[in-house]
Amino acid sequence: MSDRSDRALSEQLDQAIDTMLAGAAHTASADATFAALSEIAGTLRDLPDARFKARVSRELQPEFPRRTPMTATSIESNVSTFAVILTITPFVCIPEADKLIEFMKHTFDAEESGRHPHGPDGFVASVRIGDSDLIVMGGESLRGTECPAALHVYVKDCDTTYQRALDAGAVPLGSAGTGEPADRPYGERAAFVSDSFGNYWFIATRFGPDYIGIGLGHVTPSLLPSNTKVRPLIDFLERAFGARVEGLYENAGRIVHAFIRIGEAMLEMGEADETGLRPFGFYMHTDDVDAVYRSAIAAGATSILAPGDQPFGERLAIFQDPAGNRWFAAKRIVAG
Amino acid sequence: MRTGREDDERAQVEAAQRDPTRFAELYEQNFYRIYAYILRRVADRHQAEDLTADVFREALAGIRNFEFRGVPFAAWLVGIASRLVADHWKRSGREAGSPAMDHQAAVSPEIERSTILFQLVYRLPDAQFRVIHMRFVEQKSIREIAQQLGRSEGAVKQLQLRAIESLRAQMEGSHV
Repeated sequence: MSDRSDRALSEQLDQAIDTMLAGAAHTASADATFAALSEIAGTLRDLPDARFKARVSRELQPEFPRRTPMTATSIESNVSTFAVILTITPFVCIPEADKLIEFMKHTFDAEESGRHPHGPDGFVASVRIGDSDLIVMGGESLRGTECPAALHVYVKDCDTTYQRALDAGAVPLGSAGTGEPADRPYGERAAFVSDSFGNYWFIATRFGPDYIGIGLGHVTPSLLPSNTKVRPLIDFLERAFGARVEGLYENAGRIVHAFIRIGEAMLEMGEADETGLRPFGFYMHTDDVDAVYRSAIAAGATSILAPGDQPFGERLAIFQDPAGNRWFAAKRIVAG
Repeated sequence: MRTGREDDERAQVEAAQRDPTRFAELYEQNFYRIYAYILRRVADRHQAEDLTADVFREALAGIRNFEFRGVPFAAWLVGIASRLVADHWKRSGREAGSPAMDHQAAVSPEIERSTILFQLVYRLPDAQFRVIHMRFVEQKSIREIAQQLGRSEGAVKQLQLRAIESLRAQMEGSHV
């Protein structure tokens, strides 16, 4: 179909939709193609509200069970019922991914290890900071559906890296200098910045013989749910993936920071202090996509894509957790 | 002889009877069907939403009492929906004008077609899904959607067309 006839069809269909939404029946047409599209549009008038569906789904979840201290036995028996989760990789989706990768190279000496075309104008790139991988998706078609990240990055010299981040366009987070490099009570010198694309970077140098936190890699992805979602999100991660809370810091009854292990991966969790903060994306490499999906849905996730084999050689499922984060559970099904 | 699908459903129901957290799977599989069934029998979306939520609340509360007697789980849900719709019309004082309450209507081709279409919408690429949801559910104009997504009005109309073309192709492939 030519661009011109394509435009004409999109205009004609939109006019018919306007008429339908105003209360008229779907438009009869002698053109079979238009008639079929118009009939689909007519049925879409009854499409249920996704927010309503998610709200009822959450409401139907029984009370989150009170967690009991986990013994070694209970951890073993719990974990054994879940699929093996090999890695969890931050999945950053922004239109200006090229510029973000340049920022990461300038600030953290990141290396781009692969890039593949995606969609009409986009790409997916693998980026490595130190020993940690990130997936970055770019392209104009992502505008309006951006999915940034919050990442805790260990560096040898917090102050130098902080300055490099500012030179590359980042700004300190928080007010009155709270984002600037400072010795923190939890054993790190750390600075907090936001880049030009909405990602948060927690730049840290651990005190002691090694600048990286014990048991962590160079990059630890963070979850930042709003304050009412912290506890439900932890419960979801436990029930969906067999997650284990390995460090929990509470203040006045509120969880302000937690380390959460899921399989071989470690995530951090803090409490968002900005109501407008968008949820994040995580790419989960597992040995059983279907089992992860079933378990997540049963634990209260909302399905976005049921498990299926994709043309790019992966079995993939996508779902959204109760705090709005998107999880891409995947397993490679062909060599490559 | 039971089919694999019936066996799967029986296993899911039994799992939900043992552990109510597993009810979420049954909700996901039946939500669109029940919503489409109810929407055809009430005046507007708000009533359909209230009654749909009531159906699943009642089903969850009574899941332990459900027994397989040769009908699918969906038929049990439709039975609840049918009764709640009837109660709704009685409360409205319009019993005489209420639609037919036969459970067979739940598996009418029209409702099955809507059910499949709604499921397919939620598998559209994100940008297409957002346009369809804003246009048909939130009833926003193309101009409002374009402003919200930071795109041109022409680009939004193209996304709308691509989404509906994709849905049509998939519906034809599903043979319903």
